[in-house]
Amino acid sequence: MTGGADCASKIMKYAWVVLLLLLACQQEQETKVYWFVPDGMRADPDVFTVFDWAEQGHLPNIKRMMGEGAYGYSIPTFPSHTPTNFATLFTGVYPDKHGVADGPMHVEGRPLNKVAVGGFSSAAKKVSPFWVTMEQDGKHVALLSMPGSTPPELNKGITVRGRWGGWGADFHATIFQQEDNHTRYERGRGSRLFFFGPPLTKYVNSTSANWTTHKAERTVLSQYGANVEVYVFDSVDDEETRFDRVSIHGQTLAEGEASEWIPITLTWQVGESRIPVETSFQARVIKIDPSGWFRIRLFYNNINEHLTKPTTTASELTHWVGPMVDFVDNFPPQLIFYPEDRQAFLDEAHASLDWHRKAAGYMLDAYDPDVFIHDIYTPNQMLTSRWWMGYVDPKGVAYDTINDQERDQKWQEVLSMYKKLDDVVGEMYKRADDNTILVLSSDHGAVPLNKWVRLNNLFAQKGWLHFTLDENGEPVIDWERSTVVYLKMAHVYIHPDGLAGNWTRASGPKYRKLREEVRQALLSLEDPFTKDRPVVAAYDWERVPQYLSLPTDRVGDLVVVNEAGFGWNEEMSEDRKIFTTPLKTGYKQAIIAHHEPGMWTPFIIMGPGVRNTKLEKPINHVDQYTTIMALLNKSVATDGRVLHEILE
Amino acid sequence: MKYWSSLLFLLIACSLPWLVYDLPPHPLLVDSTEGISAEDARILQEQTITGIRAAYANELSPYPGQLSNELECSAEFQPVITDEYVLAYSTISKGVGACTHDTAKYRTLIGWKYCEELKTLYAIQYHTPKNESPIPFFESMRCP
Repeated sequence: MTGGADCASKIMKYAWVVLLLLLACQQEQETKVYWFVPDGMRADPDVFTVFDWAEQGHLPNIKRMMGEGAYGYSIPTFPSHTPTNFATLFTGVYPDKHGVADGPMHVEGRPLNKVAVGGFSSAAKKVSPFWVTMEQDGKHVALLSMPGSTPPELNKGITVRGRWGGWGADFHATIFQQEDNHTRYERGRGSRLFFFGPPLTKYVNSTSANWTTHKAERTVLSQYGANVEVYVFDSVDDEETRFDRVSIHGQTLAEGEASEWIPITLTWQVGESRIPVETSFQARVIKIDPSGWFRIRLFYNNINEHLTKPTTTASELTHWVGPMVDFVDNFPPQLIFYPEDRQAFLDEAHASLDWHRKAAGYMLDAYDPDVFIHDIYTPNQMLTSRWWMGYVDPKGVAYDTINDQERDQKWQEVLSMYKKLDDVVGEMYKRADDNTILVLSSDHGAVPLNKWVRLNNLFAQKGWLHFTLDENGEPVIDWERSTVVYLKMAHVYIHPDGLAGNWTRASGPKYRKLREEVRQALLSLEDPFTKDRPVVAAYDWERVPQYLSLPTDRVGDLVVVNEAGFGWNEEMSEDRKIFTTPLKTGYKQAIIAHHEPGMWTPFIIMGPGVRNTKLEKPINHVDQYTTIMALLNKSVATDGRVLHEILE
Repeated sequence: MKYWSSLLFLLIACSLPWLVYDLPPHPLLVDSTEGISAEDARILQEQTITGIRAAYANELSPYPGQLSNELECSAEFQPVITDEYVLAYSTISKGVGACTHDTAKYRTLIGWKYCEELKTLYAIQYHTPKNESPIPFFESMRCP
């Protein structure tokens, strides 16, 4: 193409520019949407009575929203966890349409020993989410910490750090603890990220050191290709040796103290490439024993240029808001083993909530988005940790193990988290004008976890699953001989001819007979101490669209629903024990939320077209998107209903 | 008034340099970074490629257990990476990372053209139906 054609090409480009400018002018007057979706923000009529807390004045910004808009409870879809419910909230359809049936998903034609689709990835969805629809509609969209938003789907908008979407250089906080073989063995893979990745608790040795005039021991903390030198020392000059301080990069810290942020260059490994990433970390001395035994946590800035799009957003946020504290504790949790871990968790949680409050204000001011969607993971982390849920909810077995004064302390700590969520709401509220729809909702609640149920040990007892444990205690499954296996979060895969190779759905009388035997084994399962039955239902894959709104192509042969208080666990052990007591006391996952108010969430909406009312009955998550699109005068096909009762 | 301003834009359009290409039959997005050296352009390009490569690397599964711990995108959906472009499968939202037949809706090319004379890097996203190749169109694009 040359000459005239060249000019035609240019004309076409500018025609687009003109069109976009005209659209931009037109949309200046259009409605904005600020949507805050804290992860795991439980709200129910009996225990986490968030609306009462607001009325009592503890949550002033939520109270303002309630006073101006509509509010009530919202019910998550099954399975009641993050990836499925974020997809549901932001598409307005159930998993049988959006495809996010779970966190880890398997599909036919792929082996069961690897996860084929990750529910946190933006690529798991079969339907475009709200933020894509809004950007396609010409809106300027900004996303902060949104599960399912990465790899980024926005072209012009801003995407800041999704979660577990397999995108960007994520450096997870790490605990360094003096070598202790027994503890190390006990924790096993539980101290590694997702049981498999980089260690989240590392065991290190220290040596006596000539350092200043103090008695000291030197240790090097190595992670992500960087070394941090630490001296543990006795600050009192007397005859006794009692280690009580840590020196790190010239900063002296006592137990419970954290350092300033310290610059560091970490290495991001992608395949064979090793990419240096300039970032920073904060050190926290969780515990230090007079003998010199220590537990130190390094928290790495949760954003860098590889975790935001555009890349410059990372440095802008770090400069104006500070290094990001996003993901409190770890998965699996590490701050659950020592009493001092509780305070470390709380400090990290408050830092996270403060960062998100400032970031919300900064992003709204600096980027002036038409659509701002913001998640924070801290409520989920807190309510599924060891320290709170089991003690504040009467359904927790730990509830009666503490007195009322201790419980009151725990409630105050939970409430302080809710107050800080309210502060984030406040940042949005004060920037919302008459043309802004402001929404507060959440993906799921959380309930006490009293027992893990190791379903694979049950199947091994029955002779359906064959495994051995290697020298490290890792299970090695004989897939050829195994005909039944449980895989997270709620799926049992069954094949009478064995589960080796690429998985295909079995059929025929032999299959149906085995599946029925498995179902009966599950339904008759009983906690030997309490006699409670953990299985509510085990649905055939053909029936999951009807009963659970799940797609048939991303589920196991049986989908197993658990009674609240129990949680499925893949762990296999030599003793074949099925019921075990977890350290963490809160949980969510494979519970049908309609029957369990502890899984419910708040839904509060205010803005143009919304009247001030209280919803008499809980709504479904699919109704939120449907109603917001109606308020934006967008016609969409969803599974939800427009909440006409809240519209003016 | 609207007509005249549009005409003015068209006149300006003819006098400015642009990447040259035919009318695209499928969705196309071109972003330009002006006043950039070839070396910096290469760095920007490498950064994007690294991000895409990481998105397809075997990764840790979310909500893992003792068995469900590794996530793998199968070979047929792995991206093709060259010096000039990345070819990947993308979803209905045109985001890359689709690793199953039911989510792969488009064949997406993320490519770069650096125009030395203009000191401009053009970042191109071109999405064809998944049974078509976006490469010929990309290769037909050139500096003015």
